[in-house]
Amino acid sequence: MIRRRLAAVFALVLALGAAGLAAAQKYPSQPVTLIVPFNAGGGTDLVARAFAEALKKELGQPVTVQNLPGAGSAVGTTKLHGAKPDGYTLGMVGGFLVTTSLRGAAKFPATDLTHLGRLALETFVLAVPAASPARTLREVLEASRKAPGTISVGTAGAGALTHLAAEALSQTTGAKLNVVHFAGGAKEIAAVLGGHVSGGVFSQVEVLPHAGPGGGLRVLATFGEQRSEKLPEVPTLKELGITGVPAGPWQGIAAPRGLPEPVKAALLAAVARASQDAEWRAFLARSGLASHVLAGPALEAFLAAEIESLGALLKSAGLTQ
Amino acid sequence: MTARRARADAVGGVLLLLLAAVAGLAGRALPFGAPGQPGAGFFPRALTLLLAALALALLIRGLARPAPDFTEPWRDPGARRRLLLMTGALVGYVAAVGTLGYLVTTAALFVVMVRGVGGRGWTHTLVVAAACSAGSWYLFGRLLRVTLPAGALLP
Amino acid sequence: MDALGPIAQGFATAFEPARVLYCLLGVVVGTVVGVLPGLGPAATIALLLPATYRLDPVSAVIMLAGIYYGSQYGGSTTSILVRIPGESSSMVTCYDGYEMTRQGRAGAALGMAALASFVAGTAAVGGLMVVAPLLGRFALAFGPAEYASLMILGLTLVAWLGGASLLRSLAMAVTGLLLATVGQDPVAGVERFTFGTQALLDGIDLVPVFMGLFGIAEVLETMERPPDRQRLPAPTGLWPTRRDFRDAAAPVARGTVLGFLLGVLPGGGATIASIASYVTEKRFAKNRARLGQGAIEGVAGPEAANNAAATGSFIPLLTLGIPANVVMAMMLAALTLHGIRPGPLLVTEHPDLFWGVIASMYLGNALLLILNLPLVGLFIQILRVPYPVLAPLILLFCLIGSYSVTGQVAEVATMVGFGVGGYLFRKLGFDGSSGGRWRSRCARRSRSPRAASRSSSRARSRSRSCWRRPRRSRRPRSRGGRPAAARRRR
Repeated sequence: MIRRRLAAVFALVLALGAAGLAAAQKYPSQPVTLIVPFNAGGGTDLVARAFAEALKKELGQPVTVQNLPGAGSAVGTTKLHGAKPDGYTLGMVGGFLVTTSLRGAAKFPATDLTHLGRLALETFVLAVPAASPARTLREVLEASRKAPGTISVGTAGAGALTHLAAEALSQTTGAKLNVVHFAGGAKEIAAVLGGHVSGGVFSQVEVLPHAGPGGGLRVLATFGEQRSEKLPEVPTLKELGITGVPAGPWQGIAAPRGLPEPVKAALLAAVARASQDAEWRAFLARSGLASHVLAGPALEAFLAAEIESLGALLKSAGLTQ
Repeated sequence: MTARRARADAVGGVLLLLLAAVAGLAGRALPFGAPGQPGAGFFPRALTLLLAALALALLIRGLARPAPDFTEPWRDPGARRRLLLMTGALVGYVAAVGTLGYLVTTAALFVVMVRGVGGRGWTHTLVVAAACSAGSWYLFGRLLRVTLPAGALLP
Repeated sequence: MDALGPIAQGFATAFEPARVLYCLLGVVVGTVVGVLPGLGPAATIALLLPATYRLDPVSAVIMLAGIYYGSQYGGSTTSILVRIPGESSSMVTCYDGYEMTRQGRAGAALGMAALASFVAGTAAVGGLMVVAPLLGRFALAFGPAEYASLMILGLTLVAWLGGASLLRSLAMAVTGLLLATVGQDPVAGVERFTFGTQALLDGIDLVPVFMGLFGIAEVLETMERPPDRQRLPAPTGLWPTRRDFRDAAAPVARGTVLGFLLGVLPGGGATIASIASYVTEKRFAKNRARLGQGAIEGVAGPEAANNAAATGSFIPLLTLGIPANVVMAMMLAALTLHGIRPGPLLVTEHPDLFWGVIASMYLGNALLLILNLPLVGLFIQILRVPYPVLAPLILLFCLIGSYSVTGQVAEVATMVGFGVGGYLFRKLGFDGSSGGRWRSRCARRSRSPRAASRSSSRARSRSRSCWRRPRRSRRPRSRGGRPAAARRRR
């Protein structure tokens, strides 16, 4: 009697499990999961959720965002790397994938995924408090060369991309900046606004609310290739004759390696079309992000360049094992 | 009975000394830094030493002074069985959930707790286990979209 | 004086029928999210964020804000009833809240938690209206030196939490600090005590630690008793007594001010505020000796503080555009997506939004009180579940709550480790608040007929276990309106 009841319960549980697995016809025939290796509400999460909406329209299946934060994104990207390559598990990638993989937190090379496309590219900026005497980046660097270590520059955390950018700026210009790490961009911006550090490296989107007239920050330089549409009067590092500094964070979408060819083709096409979606583009514009779509060989070249330049920076900052 | 009377402070001191030893061993490679420029190992090492000192003080005080006996609740064999069973169930849950998945492991946890620890009848146990594991899976996993542990074999 | 013009406009904005509905929706969702461990306001808001694109910005923020402060109301429910913190900001409520439940006073604790939350929430909204811009600047002036001082103050106060033995509480505090160094070093980026694992790279998360130390350890301790003696007493009375109100008034006032100020700081927040309030009560409350033994002060103060802090954390966002925590970061994202950039100019550029959201908070707090008080009667029914069934349910909630932090089984392992370790150290008398608890239990046992009927050798060993702290009064003071039988039944 007891045994029969046990058996019945076991069968029920098995049946429940099997129902989830039975679905492998034409792709996509079931909901797709998009892994975000950061907490809900962060920058990457918002981009992922907006893109998931656009991708849903193209795939005709729900795209659910799953937040798997931890180990500076390594937990989520490792999960993506180890997922079954069936096209039902995708993940957000970016500069963080390159750094965690180079630093050994994620134990696989950044290229060991099927990169489906780069979606957005952001520019870093260097900002100082509005009350600061420095009007140009040159003045800041001059002052730091005269008295090394007195000019402090904030970052969003040790090992973050802003850390590498600040370090690179300090090294390539020989300015000997005192690089100070904060626990996240919000605390960094509060410290710069309050004048507790001389300046800070930020993502452009973080400083925009404070950069206009009456705001508490003055942006001295943008790190991207071209001048920013949002800050057209601010010079780029390139114009100032400084090279070799990471330009900014980027966001891309990837799948595990070894996708079946038809699935890969379907996904590449869907990502390409989704990145032209009107609502997605409107989202990017509203959040002050630029759409810089990149796929195929161009993306591979971009990735290889990222790995090389960030690898050199990590080594010089003493952050690789 | 006096021979079995354990001294809480002394036992606590020994446990904390062990922790300090582990921390000291695991953190021995961390750079200590220079004066005015503390390295990554400064805080861990200072705290390890402080903990060791406090643990030693506890140990000495525990041996020197009479202390309340903390083993009293464990004298009852039934209590020992229940405590070990529950600890085992939790450890087993952690070990098994990655392979067997949420539904089966949760049901098993309920079986151990309701039947083994709580002493309820089998019918009652199985109904509760099935209802609670499936119900919570549906409520949290489906309706509220909380990420639940998924197994390699089963959901 | 035209100062009241925009405020009146704000009330008109907030009280439009559709907005009242969004406010209600927000606080209902917030209550649910707060009650259920494993569901936090941050994850919920992230889930709902895309849906707010279609709303107008004022309604969107009104709803999202409602979820946030609503979750502070619900967080105390499981802390009080089963000793699992529903939100990390309700952790310290476990101490006295759960002890009150064991004494059959769950209704009074839940009712007081709701009332304290309401008073603090409403007062903090008033503060938000009057001094928001001023406090924004205060938050910015808080630099590294000030944060360091605050931390040292906190560490100094730890000694007061321990109470019974300074050596023990210091040892525990140092252990805690040592555990906090696990993970990537914030200055050099070097890994400390990670043993090569990913799981420890971000350090040990607080949620599994709380779940283990409170929830799991408590169930383990209950397992010492045979199943028929595990049940929690049926609650007597649903409402705090007159004396409760008198005792709670000052802690609520202190908690509100403290919570509001700590909420404004970018490095503060509701969790720190609630702990600070508890420590303050431990030091200043009139009946401070009773704290940890089911004192209403230990529920009223922290619950007031976390609500005031939740409201206070809107100040840096609305006046400076700086999000003080993850939830505020999402609020910022919601506004940015509507083309609004919060900052110093928000009050003048979007007065309808600024004052409308603030006005809605009055409404939301009132709705929450109306919603929560009748729920007390419902939640109390949980205590009628037989303990053999309730115990695995508590474990399950802890497991889900820990797992959902990062979605790694390692978090669950951490929780189990802290649960077993916490139980052991509690047995050894290292539990911060158990000094008081231990004492009260000894006193209660020695007075209960059951204890007297047991063998004399046991009784002697029991009375010896009360030996260390004989000086303070052994009997829990008897309280108005509570039958003594309820206290004894256990």
